[in-house]
Amino acid sequence: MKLPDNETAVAEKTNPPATLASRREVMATAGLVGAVLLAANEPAQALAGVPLRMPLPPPAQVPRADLLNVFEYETQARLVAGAAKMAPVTGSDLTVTDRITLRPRMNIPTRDLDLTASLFGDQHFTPIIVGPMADQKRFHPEGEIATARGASAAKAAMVVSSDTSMPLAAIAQGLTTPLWLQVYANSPKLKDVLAEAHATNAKAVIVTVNAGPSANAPATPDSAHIDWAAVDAVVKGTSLPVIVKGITHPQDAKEAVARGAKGVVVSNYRGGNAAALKGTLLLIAPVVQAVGGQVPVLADGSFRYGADILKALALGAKGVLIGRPVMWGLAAYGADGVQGVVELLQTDLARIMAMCGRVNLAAVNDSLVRIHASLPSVKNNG
Amino acid sequence: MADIEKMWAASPSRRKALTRLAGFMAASPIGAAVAQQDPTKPLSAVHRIPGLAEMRTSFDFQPVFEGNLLPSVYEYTAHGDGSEFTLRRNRQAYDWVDIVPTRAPVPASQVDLSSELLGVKMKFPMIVGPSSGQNQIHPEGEVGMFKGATAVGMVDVLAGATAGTAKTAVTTVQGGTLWAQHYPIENLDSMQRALSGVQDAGVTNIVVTVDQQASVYERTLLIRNLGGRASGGPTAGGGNAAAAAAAAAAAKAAAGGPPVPGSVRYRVSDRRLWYSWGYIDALRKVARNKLIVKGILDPEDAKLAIEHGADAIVVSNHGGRSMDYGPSTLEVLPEIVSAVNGRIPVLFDSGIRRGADIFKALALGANGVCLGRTARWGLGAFGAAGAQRVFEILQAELLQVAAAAGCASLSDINKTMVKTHFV
Repeated sequence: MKLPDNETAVAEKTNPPATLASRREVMATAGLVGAVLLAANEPAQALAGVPLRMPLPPPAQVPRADLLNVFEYETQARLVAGAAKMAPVTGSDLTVTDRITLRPRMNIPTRDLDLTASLFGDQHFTPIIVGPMADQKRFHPEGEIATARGASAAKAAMVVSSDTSMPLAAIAQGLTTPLWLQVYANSPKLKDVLAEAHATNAKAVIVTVNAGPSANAPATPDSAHIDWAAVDAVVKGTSLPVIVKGITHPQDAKEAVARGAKGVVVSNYRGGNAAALKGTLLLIAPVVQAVGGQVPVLADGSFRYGADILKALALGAKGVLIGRPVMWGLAAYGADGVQGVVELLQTDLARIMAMCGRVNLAAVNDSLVRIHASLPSVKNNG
Repeated sequence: MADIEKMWAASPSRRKALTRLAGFMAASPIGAAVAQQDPTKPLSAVHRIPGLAEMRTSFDFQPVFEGNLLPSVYEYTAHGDGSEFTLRRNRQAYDWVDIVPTRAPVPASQVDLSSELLGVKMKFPMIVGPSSGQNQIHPEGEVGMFKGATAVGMVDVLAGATAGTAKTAVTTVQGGTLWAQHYPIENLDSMQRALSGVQDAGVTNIVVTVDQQASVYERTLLIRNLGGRASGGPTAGGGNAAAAAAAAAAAKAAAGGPPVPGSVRYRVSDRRLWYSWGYIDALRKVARNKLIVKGILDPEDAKLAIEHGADAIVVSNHGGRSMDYGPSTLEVLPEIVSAVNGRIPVLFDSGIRRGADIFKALALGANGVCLGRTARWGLGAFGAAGAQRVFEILQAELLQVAAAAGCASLSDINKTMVKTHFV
């Protein structure tokens, strides 16, 4: 199959074929070009007369409606808030995401697309929920209050961290969608948090296991460290449905249900839980199987496109929590940015569902996904 | 992926180097002085553009094509849906198929890859796939593409064919075979009128595209960064206008206006979400010749297409332009071929750049392939002559590969010729 002349090779050297870089590399390349232009001090000058083909990152504070994906929100957030400030919520783990493809189906009418998800007694506009992130004042002066406003505008439920930087009552006041309250197992302020949950009419309590007693504590390495007594304390301490977050093993999910959990969140907690874990997508199906439909299984972890979310739903999740991208939106545009990020993911999920011929969540199942091995190392086929 | 392709993927590209240099020049006093001396001669002007006679592979056409076009027009051809995972996977998939010749090589002069496909005698099982806006990439446009295809005996599929464009093409270029691509039209009377007109104008087979129901080309950022608005945007489906309308309707409904149905609530245009197999039935009655359903990626859909009267299918993800995170076409080809089981021809497209790529698709059971971007590169680089040349190159490459693999005819190219390592 080798062509006889070596001109092929020469030609290829001078003419780049379609890039095969991962999307992160693509983003990084775009960032690099931008950095060069910024270094030139005067972007317009650098542009003069050069036929640039590589997309540049938009300058800081481009109109929010122009952003096309959540990675652009990440760029904007770094420009607005500074890379150092955004460092704790920067990055994505797409290792597993990129090993799963979807199976589109044609000629299935999907005009009546309906993403409504029923969770803990509420009808949610979509299964996309704003996840718990601690101390949001780090990213925007209005903190959780802005997030609540954005989530409400996007018709998404919001999980408020017990390490909130704003008073819960003020957050709840601005939120027109269901509020869930998150607390760490073993948190010294458990009693107060549960009392507040009732006072603010929260719809569920999420107890984070595997993460230490607060956001600032180091994550514990594996399921052996789940303090079930602490989970019991939460279940006993409230009449609200309790959701256990931080589950990575089917056995732990079973245990949580046995101890009265009304839901579990498959989560590797900011990637801190069990360093060997790469992404959470492949952990979902075993957990779903273990709980056998008794309670809904939610998931979090690096959902960046609608396709990523659909994979989680296809593998059995009933909802997903979005963390970092929401903070990117918040840091760059405040409440508007939160709304933008959530709506972008909602729309992307809806359109991918349409292209897979799935008109509602009941029609989403594992026949949609194909799980592949990791990409093999590239061989030389000359 | 060859080492050189890999190098291009992993190392700073020519563009990046150029940009760096430009940034450096602009910031330096020398650069400013040079710019003042000769403001009409930008950096790009010092590069020699290779000529048609220098083209050796399809890849050679790409930079010439790129250099000829406005960035926005170029971006339209270059990009795919969403994060472009599928666009990249289409190319990767060819590396997961090895050619393992089991026969002794035959002289290229003894290789005959001709066949009769969908009522057309073809020297090579290659077709120019439908791609829209060819008049934007070269003044010779659709007619030029048809001319280039006809010159090498290839069928051309006219994208979004209308009676007018079809008539112009068949009257300007004699002796060719023109098929028409068709996007479903919900009003069946309008559909009938449109297709009757196209067929009256001299088009034979009809290719109906059933994918791309709500696609987004998000990587069209350059337009925005040069002062325009990004196209695509967070709303999806059937072009900007439709998506914007969907978003506006959703916003109105949210503000207490009239309720909107289904997809529009999620800001997804419903313009193409009505597609159904019933439409293929209706189309079957209007199509006078062969009806080809393009955009099939699932064995079940292939079976349904046959049930609803398709004379052929095209296994296609629209060159990575339909749905992000869908499969590459090559990896689903074998199971679709097996589901079709020889009942109808299976055509194949997406990601073809070399004769070896075509050989692999044929070995995995495709009866023919369609060319999209490579055809556009040829046309956009050098007009009809360029299109013709890129087709000739791919035909020659295919011939060479077949000869080296000891395949003297199409029937010799079967799955024993390849080993697959799909992941």
